Amino acid sequence: MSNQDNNENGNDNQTDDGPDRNEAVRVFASEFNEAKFTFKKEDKKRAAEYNLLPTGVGANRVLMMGTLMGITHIKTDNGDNYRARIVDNTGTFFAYAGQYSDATEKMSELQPDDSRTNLNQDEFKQVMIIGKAGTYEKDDNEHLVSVEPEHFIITDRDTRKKWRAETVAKTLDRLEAVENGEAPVQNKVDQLSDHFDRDGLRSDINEVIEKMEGVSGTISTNPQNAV
Amino acid sequence: MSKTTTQHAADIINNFGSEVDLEQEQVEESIRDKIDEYLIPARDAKDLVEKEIKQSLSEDAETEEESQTKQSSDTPQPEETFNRQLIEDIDTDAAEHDYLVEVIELWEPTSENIGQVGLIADGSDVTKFTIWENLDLPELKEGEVYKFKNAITNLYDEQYSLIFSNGSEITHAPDQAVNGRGMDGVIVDIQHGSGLIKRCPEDGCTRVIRKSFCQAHGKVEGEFDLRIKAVIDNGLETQDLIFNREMTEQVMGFTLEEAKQQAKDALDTDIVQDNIEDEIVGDYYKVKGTEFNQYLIVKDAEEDKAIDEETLNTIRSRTTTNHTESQSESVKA
Repeated sequence: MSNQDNNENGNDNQTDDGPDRNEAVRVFASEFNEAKFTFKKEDKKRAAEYNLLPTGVGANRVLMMGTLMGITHIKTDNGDNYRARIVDNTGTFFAYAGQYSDATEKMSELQPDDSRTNLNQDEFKQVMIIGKAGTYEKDDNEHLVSVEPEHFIITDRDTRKKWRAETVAKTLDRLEAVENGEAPVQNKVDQLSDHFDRDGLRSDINEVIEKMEGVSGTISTNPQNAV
Repeated sequence: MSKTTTQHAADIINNFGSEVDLEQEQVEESIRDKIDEYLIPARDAKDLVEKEIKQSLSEDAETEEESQTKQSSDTPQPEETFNRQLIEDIDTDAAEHDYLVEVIELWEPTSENIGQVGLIADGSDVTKFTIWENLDLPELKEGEVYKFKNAITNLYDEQYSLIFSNGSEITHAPDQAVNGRGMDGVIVDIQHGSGLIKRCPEDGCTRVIRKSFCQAHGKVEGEFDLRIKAVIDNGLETQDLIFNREMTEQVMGFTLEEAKQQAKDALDTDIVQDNIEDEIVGDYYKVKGTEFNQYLIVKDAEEDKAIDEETLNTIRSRTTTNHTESQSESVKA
């Protein structure tokens, strides 16, 4: 029985990731910026690359939100690139649209005339970035993490608040798993534990919770750590 | 090389063998009736006549059984049995079975001989159904669940669908649920083939066509339709979604006709897909629907910016207001 395959898959089969589309991991800037190590799940040249989050999860695609602080226009040999600086409750992250895409177009429309500027306070916009996690190397060999947006969406405060609550909950789920030794890529994260500041992340999350309505207090520490 | 009606009639008589008493002339006339009635090729008319004969034979057999039962017992007849079969198990042509299905989509009939045509699903698979105009069966509604009794499988172009005869019954089963599922998350992508699309107008084909060319029927004059192929993502997994025309109109707040106008104004049919993307990508949605291959056929969709109580409970379960015991900031691993 597959007569409908022809209708739905036969002539317009253009999914972007194929059948195994990577989920968009909800992550705050402070955790994301520590995800400087990448790995592949398959030993193939074109296999998807994952950034290792300190909570023991590989993130190929992320969904992040924040307040747009500015967009920088960067001219390169490959054309116009744009870098957006976005701030969430835990820190700053960068969205870097390196190739022509719908996101690049949106970012260019927001870009004021001068090459580098901070937007006015009145113009602060809530943005959602859905895109691929990546790392790039600065001139001084320092590795930085950024997201290459597939979608750059101007949204609103309600969506931001919902995302914030969701991301707190999901981060807490991941923290609990990694501290119980049950994270999806536990071995990888254990090997690199010196590079990750999970206490810092926990303290960031506590600050976020303080600003939220409907919840209070601070997150309980892991019993293994609190002895 | 096509056979004559006479040859088809002879084939039928041959197929049933000498045990069944069939008149060549009568069979020929039945085939001609079908050709006239449904405007179909002789080959298909022959199949229909053959099925009708089979069906009347089995009805005769049942009647005989019934009368025998009545003779042997005075107790009232038990309620008619409903032996549910799954769509995925269909593997024989012209087989009569019972199904519990949900109507996923109704299509515009492309011939006046068709009463209703569309897609049904039962959790195992999805298939097409066709109800001929001359049958006395209830009108089906999209999204509703029905019991099909004695629906007949029909093999055409290597694809099975369900058709009905005078011996079939359809009853509304609003209290029955076909496997459905829901998902909450963010719409993270719109896929190509969304927005204003054209479908092949050939009988029950409905393939999405590009540049007036149908894979099965060649060059055709396509008919406009509206749909969304989207991806919803809850941060842990993703689900492909299909919004049919009705759901697309509901979610987007514009009709097929208005979508056509958008395309006309922009001199570009892709504008509708762009408008859909601008509108819903990045929005939190709660959707419910019926599973079909890798898709969820959306029956119910609602944008939802409210924070889920479940999310708050997840956070509450891990926080404590007793600060003396939980000085997490000062703890070093």
